[in-house]
Amino acid sequence: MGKPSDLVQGTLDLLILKTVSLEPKHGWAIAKRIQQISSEVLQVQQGSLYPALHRLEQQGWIKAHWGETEGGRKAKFYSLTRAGRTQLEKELAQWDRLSTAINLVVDTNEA
Amino acid sequence: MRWTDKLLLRLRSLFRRHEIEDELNAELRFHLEQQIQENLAAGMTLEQARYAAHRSIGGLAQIQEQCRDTRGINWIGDLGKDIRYGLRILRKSPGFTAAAVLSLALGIGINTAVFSLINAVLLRTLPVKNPERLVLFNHRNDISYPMYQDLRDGNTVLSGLLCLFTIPASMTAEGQTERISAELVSGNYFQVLGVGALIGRTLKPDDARVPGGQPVAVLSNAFWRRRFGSDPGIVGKTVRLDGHPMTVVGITPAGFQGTEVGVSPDVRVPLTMYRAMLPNSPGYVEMSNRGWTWLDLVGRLKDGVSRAQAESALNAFYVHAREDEVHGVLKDIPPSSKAIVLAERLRLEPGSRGVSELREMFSRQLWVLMAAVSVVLLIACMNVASLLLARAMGRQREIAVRLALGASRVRVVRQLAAESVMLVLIATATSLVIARWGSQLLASFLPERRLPVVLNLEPDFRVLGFAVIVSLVAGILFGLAPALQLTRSAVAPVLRAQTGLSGIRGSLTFRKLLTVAQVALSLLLLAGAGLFVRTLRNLKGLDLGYDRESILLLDLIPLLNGYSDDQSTRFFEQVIERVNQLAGVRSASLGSMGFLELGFPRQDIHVEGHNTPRGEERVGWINTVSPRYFNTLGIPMLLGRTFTVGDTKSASKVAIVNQTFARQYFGGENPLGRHIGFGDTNGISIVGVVRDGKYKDVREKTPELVYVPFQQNPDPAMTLQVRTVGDPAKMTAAIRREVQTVDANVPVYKVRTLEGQLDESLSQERLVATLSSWFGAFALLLAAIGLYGVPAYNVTRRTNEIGLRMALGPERDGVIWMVLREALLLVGMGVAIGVPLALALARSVSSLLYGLKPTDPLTISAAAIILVAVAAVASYLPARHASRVDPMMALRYE
Repeated sequence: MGKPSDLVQGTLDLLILKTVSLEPKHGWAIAKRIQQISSEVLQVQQGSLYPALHRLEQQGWIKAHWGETEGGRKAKFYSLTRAGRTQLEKELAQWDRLSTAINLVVDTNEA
Repeated sequence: MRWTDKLLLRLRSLFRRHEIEDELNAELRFHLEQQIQENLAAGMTLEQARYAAHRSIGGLAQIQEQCRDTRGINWIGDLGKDIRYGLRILRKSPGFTAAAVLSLALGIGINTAVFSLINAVLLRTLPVKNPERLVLFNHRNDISYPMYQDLRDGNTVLSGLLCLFTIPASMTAEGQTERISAELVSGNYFQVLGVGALIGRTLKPDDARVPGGQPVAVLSNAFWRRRFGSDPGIVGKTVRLDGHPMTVVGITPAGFQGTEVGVSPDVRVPLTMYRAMLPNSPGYVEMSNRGWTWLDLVGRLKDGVSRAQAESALNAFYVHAREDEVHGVLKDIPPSSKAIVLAERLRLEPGSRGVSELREMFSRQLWVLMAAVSVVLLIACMNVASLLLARAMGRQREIAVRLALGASRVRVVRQLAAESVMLVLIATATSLVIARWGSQLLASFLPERRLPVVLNLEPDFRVLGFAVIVSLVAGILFGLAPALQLTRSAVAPVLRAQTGLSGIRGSLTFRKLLTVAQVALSLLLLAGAGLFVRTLRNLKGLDLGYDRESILLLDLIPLLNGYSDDQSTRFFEQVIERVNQLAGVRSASLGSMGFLELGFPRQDIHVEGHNTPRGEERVGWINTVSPRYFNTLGIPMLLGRTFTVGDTKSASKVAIVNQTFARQYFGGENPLGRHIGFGDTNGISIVGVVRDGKYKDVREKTPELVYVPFQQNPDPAMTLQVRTVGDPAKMTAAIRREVQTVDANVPVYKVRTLEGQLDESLSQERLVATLSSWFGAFALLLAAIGLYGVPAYNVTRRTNEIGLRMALGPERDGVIWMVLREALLLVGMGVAIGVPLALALARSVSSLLYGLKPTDPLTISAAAIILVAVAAVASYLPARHASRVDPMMALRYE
């Protein structure tokens, strides 16, 4: 099972930003969503998730508000800010570059 | 997000901490519950679901802490915690805290106190407009009013020239009379200085147009506050100054004391009111008298004119004016005096800091004291560093545990630093109180001249800046050492064992070094104090050549009453006769020279038969005395006879010389019967030789002195010497009465005792000797604490070893010696460093010493012996403690 430390450095931020870019989500949902989409490959540990959420909030990339879940419970929902969207685009571009580069190295047969 | 939003977010984090914490809790709890729900849905029992959820989420507290950290305001909260922690730690050991705070506060306090004094006397500029454009006339009390007017109106280099004369006076207001100080000033005084009135008005040139013109007075701010409780209603009211009604027209602004540092006249009146203010001034002396040179001058340079330019321009004018005077109003004075008058030049000095006798007398001494107190502070810092180290060592385990549990090194150092910062803050606050009180105490050592010493010791930006810088430097000095020591030591060995650790041993070595340095520096201060104290004693114990006990001195100047020579001779004869008959008077006499004070005329003395051509004679002093002079003062006659009542104007001219004179001009020959001359008189035959004495200054090399009888050489100003049976001061009133019986119009000036005169002439030496002794004693106390502390700590640390030694053999003395030896070794090293240091530095104060070399072996070895003795006593306590260690207890100790 993948631990958070297995995530490439800095990718947790990218995953969170991407996950909340569609609609506001609370912490639990963000973790579940990442897990589901990645077919259970990526497990986000709460020990990393919440500090990361707080860090992103402090940087002004996401904002938080209290809302109700489908079950009628109060939870803290995070959504992307305008600055966060720019940041997401930047990180996506970076990720593309990085993964392309890695694929090039990995796929080559001349190594 | 804009930076303002970010700021709001941070502020919210800072000030709505509880809200945020609650939110975080709720958020995490929600997460936990969701996880439990999911686990339940997966078919776990409630128990299992909870357990699994908790396990997957990990340490809630850690997540919370991490979230707090990311909010980036943790350090502020931590700071508060550090400060509270620091204070709590300090409170927990009140003994340590008191010792540390007290030594620091005293160290910083006396530094600031001495600096306040230096600031007030040497550095402060006058609170007037553009003080740097002011010039002082270094020609004190030597300008007549007409000359002042000539200079004021005849120059093109000054934009203003004021004159003043400061005197004691008495003021009667609201039915109460008190002694105050007054300043007679020219009408343009305030305009030239550029000082306005706080209330009412200042003086105007019109106030000082004609003698006796305007009976108005301006009160000083300090006097107005003290005497009239800051009542603005006093302006416009009438007070009596020396019995004369004067209208108060204004109050000066706070902080303005005048042009002389150290003197603060309570009231200023126009110079033209001098007759009312100088009740003793004889009737015929008018302001227009060119012979009455009494004024101090202060000028303001015109823009673009330098001091040198102004000086040469004013001198061109002045020399010309003096020549006119010598050929005119002063044509009757003796030729030698004329030469002196014509040789006089005005000297302009920078006036931004005002004039100050204190500055001339004490600047060197004050800097020496400043150096001494900075050494005291250095010792105090070392002391506190040593105390902190000792405590830190006690906490080494605690700190190692913290580091092991994951506290960051920075965080630990910060906590230690917070403690030091708290110490400095408390010490600095205390030191300001000490400084305020101390600077006043120090100022009280300054000698009162004509008027009481009043210094502006209010802390200004310079003093406060000094205190802050000194505190910071002190804090860094003592705070850094322990922090460095502690964080350097490794965690594991500290946790593993209790004794014999490299970290601890390193710290102990460091503390020993501190002790050695303290001893060396204390030796420096003690040796300095010893040198100064012995200098004072040498000077006090000097053989003055006369008996100084029970002698009262009073000045009589009948000349001011318009007496002719014959009249004053008769006046003096009667005064001596009457005073000699007073009960309680052993002997009374007169002399034209005072004792141990400045300002006696010297004359060319011609010795007949001596091969110095006329015109190139050495100048010597002439003392005009009455018959019983040598008897009254206890000056032994060595050869010949004393003066008698028979040495009258018509008798043959006679003189008595001192030993130095006899040796200088006659070598081994008999001077009796030889002839000398001075001024217009020749053929004066020497009838006696008396012992040498100290005349102007106890440090002087005895000059050649000639005594002549007063009937033959009338002198207009004489000092009456009265040897009394009891306390001389108590005879003042009776003597004054006798003088007034002879002529009620002749004032008696400057009553003082010869003993007091000696004391005052030694005020510089006394200041340095007294204060350096205090500082030396304080340094010694601090060093003693260090000399007690290091072995005491060492004994505690080595309790086991000592116990083992005691168990192996009854070595009580051996144990005591072991501890003592260590302390004495430290002192020995300190002395070995301190002695050469003291020898080297003492040379820089050699000009302040008398009767001993700066390298005086006795003083320096005495200082060393005192230190060794103190060390022995201080370390004997822990040594005795060590010798009482119970071997069983000690071995069980671990």
